[in-house]
Amino acid sequence: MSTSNSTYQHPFDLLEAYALNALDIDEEQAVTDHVDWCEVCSSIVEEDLRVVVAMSETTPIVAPPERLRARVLAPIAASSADSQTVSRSWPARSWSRVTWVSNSRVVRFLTPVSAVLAVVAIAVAMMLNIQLAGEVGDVQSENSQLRRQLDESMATTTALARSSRDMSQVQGNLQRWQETSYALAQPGNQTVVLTAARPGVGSKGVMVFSEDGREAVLMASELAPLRPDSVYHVWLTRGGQWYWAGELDVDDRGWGTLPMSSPESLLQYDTVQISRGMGVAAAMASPMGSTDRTRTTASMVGDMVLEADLQ
Amino acid sequence: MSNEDLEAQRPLRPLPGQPSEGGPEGEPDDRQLLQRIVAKDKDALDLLYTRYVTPVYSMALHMLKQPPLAEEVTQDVFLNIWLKAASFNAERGQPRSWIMSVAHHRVVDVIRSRRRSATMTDPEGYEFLERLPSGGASVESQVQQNFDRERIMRALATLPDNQRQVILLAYFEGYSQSEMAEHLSEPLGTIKTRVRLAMQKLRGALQEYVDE
Repeated sequence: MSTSNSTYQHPFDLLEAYALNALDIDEEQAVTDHVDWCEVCSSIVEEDLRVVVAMSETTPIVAPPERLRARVLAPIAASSADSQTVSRSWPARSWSRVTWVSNSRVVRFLTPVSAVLAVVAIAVAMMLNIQLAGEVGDVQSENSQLRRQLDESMATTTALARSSRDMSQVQGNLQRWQETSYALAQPGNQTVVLTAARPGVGSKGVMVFSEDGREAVLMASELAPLRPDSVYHVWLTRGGQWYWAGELDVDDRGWGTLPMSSPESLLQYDTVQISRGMGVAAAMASPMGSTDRTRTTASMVGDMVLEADLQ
Repeated sequence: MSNEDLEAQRPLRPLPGQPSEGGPEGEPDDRQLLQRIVAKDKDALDLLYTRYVTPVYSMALHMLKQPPLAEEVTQDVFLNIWLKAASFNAERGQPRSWIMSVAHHRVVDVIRSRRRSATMTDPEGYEFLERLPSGGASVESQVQQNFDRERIMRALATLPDNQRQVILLAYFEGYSQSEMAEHLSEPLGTIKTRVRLAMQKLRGALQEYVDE
């Protein structure tokens, strides 16, 4: 393994894109071949990979369905069993082939017999061919029928998958409702009322804090329907800085609930605000974004809907 | 699945006092598990699955937007780990970087494949705009992640617009550099430079975060 090579051109200009999986196939293969033996480049790629892995934490955590474990692990267990079967049976086949070829007397006797059998086989095959040609049409017809049945099965499978997904959403909402109810029932809670940011807007909100302020439940009602590319954002502000606290899922009636918790008291923030704007990733990718932190955040905030002082 | 279960399954943020690649006390760390998987130890794969299925599935679902596809990709990822664990070089890298990189690579493959065939696809089956289900994750993990996300987004926010744009297109939407050049009507060399500079800046900005 080499750590440096003065005559070799390291693909330094491709390593970041390689870690980001942003190379085309041919470039990616070339870099893979190089990184396999080059310690210099592989250490750079490893550093970049840690950044890429950190970015994966921006995705919301979603628990996989329980059935996935069996789906993933069962075929692997089966394939393991298959490979053992193959490794046991393979030597037996080799052995039988060697025995057959080495028996020359049998071979000499069977050669003319084989020739006669071959002629007969050809004649039979020709007759069968005529018969099969007639059957091909039937098979094609049956094939069309099977394709139709397959299409119907696929449609059923898709519908079942959608039903399963809807069920998961219902279960998630139920869990959230239970947790919210439990939090609201605690003695010593503190309540803050959110008011509309603009006159004439009917939206209302209330935020209930636990006694130590480290947990809270934000509830809002009569929020206006959203466009498909918009979401409701919840923000906490302190010292002029905006901290994104999450997206508020709102149902068809304009009701939304967001549980929050923090290692520090949420009551240390100055205000809580709800705005209507683009999704976070879309806002970040938007050309309206800016290198300046405050202005970038402001572009992500969107239209203010509800707000309350926490101090 | 309880909140504690979900947190335990999230190996990207090691608990204080624990090795960064280790499992709970008394259990083998990720490197040991990968070594055992090379020797075709199914119990080791089972344990690795428990540790990594949530981040792998979450990333796949977030990027692909369709639970059936995310499940398929998750299955592919662990099958790949089972078959190719020997290709992980313990001297060079971290198991979690390798596993999440394998997962991201597979998701990007699927996205590119779907993008190529998008013109042939029934529009009703094209669900990129579908909202993600929010159920299933614990309140604490969701909120903790919001703070993590804020931190990473702050690092992304330090990038110039055009550099941030290529990072997001590449990571979350699976664009290759040449595809981005076409999509953004920019020269390929310009895109390559943006990707390189953006990654270098992120590496610096996130250094504290990844070193934790």
